[in-house]
Amino acid sequence: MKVSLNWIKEFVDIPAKYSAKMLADLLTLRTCEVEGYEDQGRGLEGVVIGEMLKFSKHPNADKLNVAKVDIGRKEPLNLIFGQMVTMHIGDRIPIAVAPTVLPTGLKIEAKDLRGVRSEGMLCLEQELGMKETGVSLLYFPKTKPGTPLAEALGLNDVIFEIDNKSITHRPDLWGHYGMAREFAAFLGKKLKSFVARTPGRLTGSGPKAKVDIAKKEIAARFLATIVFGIKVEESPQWLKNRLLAVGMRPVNNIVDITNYVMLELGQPLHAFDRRVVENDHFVIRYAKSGEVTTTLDHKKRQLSTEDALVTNGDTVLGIAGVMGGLNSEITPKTTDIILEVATWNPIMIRKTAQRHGLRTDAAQRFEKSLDPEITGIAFHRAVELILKICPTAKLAGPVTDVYPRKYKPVSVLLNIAQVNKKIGVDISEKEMAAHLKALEFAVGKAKKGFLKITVPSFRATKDINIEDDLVEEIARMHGYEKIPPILPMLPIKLPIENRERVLKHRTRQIFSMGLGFTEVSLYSFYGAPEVRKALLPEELHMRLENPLTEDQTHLRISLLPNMLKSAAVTLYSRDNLKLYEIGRTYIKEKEYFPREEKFITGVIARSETTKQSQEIFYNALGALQAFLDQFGAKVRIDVAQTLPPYAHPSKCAAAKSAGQEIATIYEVHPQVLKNFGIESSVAAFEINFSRLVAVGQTQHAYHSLPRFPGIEIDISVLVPKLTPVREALELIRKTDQQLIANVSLIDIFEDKSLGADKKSFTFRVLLQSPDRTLTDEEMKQIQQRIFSALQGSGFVIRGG
Amino acid sequence: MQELLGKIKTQALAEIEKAASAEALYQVQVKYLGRKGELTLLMQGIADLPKEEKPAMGRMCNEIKQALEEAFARQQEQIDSADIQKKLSDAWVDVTAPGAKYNIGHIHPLSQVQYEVEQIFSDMGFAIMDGPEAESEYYNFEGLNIPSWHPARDMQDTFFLKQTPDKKHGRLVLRTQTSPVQVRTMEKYGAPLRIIVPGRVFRNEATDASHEHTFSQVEGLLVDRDISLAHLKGVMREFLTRLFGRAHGASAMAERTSGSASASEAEPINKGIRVRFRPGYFPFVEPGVELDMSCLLCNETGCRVCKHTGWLEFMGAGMVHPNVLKAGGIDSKKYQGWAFGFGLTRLVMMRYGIDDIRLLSSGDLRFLEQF
Repeated sequence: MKVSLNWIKEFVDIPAKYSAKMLADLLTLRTCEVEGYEDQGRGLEGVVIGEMLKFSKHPNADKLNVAKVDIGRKEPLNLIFGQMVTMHIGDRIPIAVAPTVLPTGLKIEAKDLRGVRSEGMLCLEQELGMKETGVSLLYFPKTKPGTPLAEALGLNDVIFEIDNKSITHRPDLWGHYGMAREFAAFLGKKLKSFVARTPGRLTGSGPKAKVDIAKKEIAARFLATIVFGIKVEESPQWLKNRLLAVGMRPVNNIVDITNYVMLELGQPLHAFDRRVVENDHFVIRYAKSGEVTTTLDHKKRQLSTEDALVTNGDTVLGIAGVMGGLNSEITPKTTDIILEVATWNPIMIRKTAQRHGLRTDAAQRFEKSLDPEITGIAFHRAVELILKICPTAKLAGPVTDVYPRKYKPVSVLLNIAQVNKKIGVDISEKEMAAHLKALEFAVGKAKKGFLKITVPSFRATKDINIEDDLVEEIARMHGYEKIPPILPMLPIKLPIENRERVLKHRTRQIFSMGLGFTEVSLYSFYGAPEVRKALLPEELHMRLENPLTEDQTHLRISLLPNMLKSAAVTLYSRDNLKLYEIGRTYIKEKEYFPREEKFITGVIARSETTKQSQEIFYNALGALQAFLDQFGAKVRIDVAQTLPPYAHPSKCAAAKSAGQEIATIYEVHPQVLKNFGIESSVAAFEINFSRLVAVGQTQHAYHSLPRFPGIEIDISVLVPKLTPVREALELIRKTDQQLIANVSLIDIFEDKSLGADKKSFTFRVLLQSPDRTLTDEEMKQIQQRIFSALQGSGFVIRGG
Repeated sequence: MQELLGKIKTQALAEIEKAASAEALYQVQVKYLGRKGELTLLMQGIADLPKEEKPAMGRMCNEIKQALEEAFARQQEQIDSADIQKKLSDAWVDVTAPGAKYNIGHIHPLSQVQYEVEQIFSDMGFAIMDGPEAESEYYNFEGLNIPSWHPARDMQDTFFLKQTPDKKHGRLVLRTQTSPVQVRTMEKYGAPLRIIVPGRVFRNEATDASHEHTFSQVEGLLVDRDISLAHLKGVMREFLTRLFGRAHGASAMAERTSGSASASEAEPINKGIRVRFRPGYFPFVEPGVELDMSCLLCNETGCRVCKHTGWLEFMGAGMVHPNVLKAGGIDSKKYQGWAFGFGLTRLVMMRYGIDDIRLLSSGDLRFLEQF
């Protein structure tokens, strides 16, 4: 909303020492957010209109003239000018009075010029920064000498741009008078009282509007009156200037007056052509089901039964408080009007405005809970202006004032100590009372340590009901800057533990700093194409009711699709990548809330062209194992019982702990890769983080270092191709649980020479005893037992 | 024999001196002192000498052997030191060539800053809390003193989920703020309470360089018996000073504005950050304030980053509204406190001078690998 300082000045005297910036800062610190301000006359402070009294040639310079100029002071000003323009006695022109700085940055100082004193400068438009090029002078033949140029140009206003969000709770601030009250309060000035002088009859026996409100909740108050003898024409300049200053387009005198009063008091009004209303009768009712009307903006509106209408009983005249009907406009032919002003139900207005997407100036104000007392004042103010601006206008008869829900004063008991305890300062009772009085709260006596505060009607509709609301009034008027920063004295207490958070950061350390993965943070949703591409079941998804774009229709049930989407782009320019994300999935359940689970999902991709002996699956598996080992989770890797739909069905494993599946590791299904346009090999792992945390971390146990040397033996064994490593490894390990300290696979070899359905494992077995050095004999015995065990399972020892 | 010994000695010493490498010296050693070395063989011959000659010859042999051994050692030392000299004088590395490549990954900047924020608040005794992202209208709005008709609902464009509304909970939404966790935590733990809630929030708005539908916030809540606005100022000043006191925060911002170089911009800030309140409106607090922090770059003198105000908007805050305490089951007669919420995403952008918010969720490695 735009606020004009000149308008504010009608209601409160603002000392000249306050610059526009100071006022904007104060308003921001005390009342509401000023997004910016336009100081129309900035830089012109030192320029006034001067009248040329006389001039003559400079005694010591051919090309200069010496002049005496009347600038409204006792003594005329001496100045020197050149030959740029021809001057005449009596010309009234802009004079910069030294010392000053012009908007162009030009410094004007009093100085002697070849023996003659110059106390200012005659200013061309170009020197004032009003025109870029040329030589031209502005003349003000009717302006009194000494008038500031800004004023002469009508450029002496400051327009503040207020952030509407910051006055959501303040119906009183949606008009200039309410804003002026704030200025008066924080500047310690007196606010002029607002009196609408309504001459002529407000009672009598002439024609009178009849008002029927179908349901009491629709309007708290409704006033109407008939005015004869209207002449619709342009508004006077002062009125148009006011509207233009705050960005409102003048229309005609009647419409402009209603807008003026709205901008002055925050109360929207409406004037109907009496011929349109026909019967002088307003029937206010809810719309019927299926009812349609056309609004002022030529749009057909399908109405809801919660929209209130202003009608004459038959014809719809407008949607109450939101927008008038197409026929409700004032035209040049209008001679009689019915002025109407109401306090509409704010909740109803808000819903209607939202439903029809009509955020009009009126609706924006009505939804803030306007004060029905102000409604009355605004009505009289509008009548006053109509009669003043339209001299032929006459009130037809008495005013109709239907006031079903009369304002009841609200009072709050204020606990002085409690206020100070909440702000953290020490403000005296007297100061508190002064701050509140400045904002027109009535301060009354109460028991010791308390004040009885009566809330003015314009703050009582919604904003102020409880003590805490008054704490804010006192704190801001006292000055938030006076609150000292203090650290609270609280007992030392260990915070409630959040292991998950700690472990999440630990996870990042391991993956990024240890295993070389890069963390990404992707969206929580994707679109129908991703669901299809990743072969995901549609029915597990929570769907968005109101997505803005096609790629945010489904909440993710897996982190993988967005990672593949992102990886696909990266893989255009890179051969390899290792990404992970820690994020949530949302799975539709029978219950109201979806099941949210946290996952760590990692993706390893490698271009097909990079020669690698190992399947990429093992890269993912290795990363997962290294992570879990560092993390301290003991798991067992097995063939996965259930596959994610986007996993390669025969390259998929699960990591389990205590019977629970903690993670899955897989190569991405070739169809899915194709769908995402990825030509590289991609393997992934998904760790259910919530479960991982539940499994917990095992302490890394310490084993004392071996005191006696061990013996390593390598054993190669030929096995059928689909034999799992673990099968052979377990056979070896079981042969001597005491002396076999470790068995590890060091090679898998496949070759035609071995036979198409065979492969060879090579294991390295470490034999070690904690209390002696093993003998060759012992070594041979164990080796023999291992051979027999392997052969017993039908495997063939190679080179043995 | 004596003569022979003398000859061997002279010859050996000469050869030792001539040996220029460890290998050559070893050959000499083998030749004279090896198992079949000339001196070794001679010494074995002593046994065959007449008894009276033995002691003298034995002594002489030993003296020679000792002399040779010393000579070997000396020569060895010389060769070693020559070797080292050679290694030192011949060698050169190109220090401008890149080092061997080690692949370390990257932690997302949001996670990094979140970690710092959590650390600082943890140090002040705040617990880190969490709540659902698919949230009910009740917790996201009603419980926070924002009934359905409230104009404040317009302040946040909400994503609704397709779900049958629940009697108590209303419609299911993607939380528009981390504030719902306030009420949830109050319900669970009661008062007193000291928590922060970092998390992802959603707004149904079109994206551009400065708007995102998904971003991160940090909510804070301190409820105890005598908690005041002065404490909010104190805690936030402490937090911001610690967070930005680390010089790199300020310097990254300075880099962004380089080009408009002034002395104050380049200087890292090491004194405390100042905070100020101004009125702000949030239905779940009363009084409600906006908290600004002193501009890191210009020290409140005004610059481009702070739009010449000297202050940077940082967060909304205020004293928890009694209705919210009530919704959380806390007696507002006994307990009071404050809550705040700031944009973690915005903080990250401020710290690193990131000019496009969308980069954070882009998965673009050219961006992520800078952190």
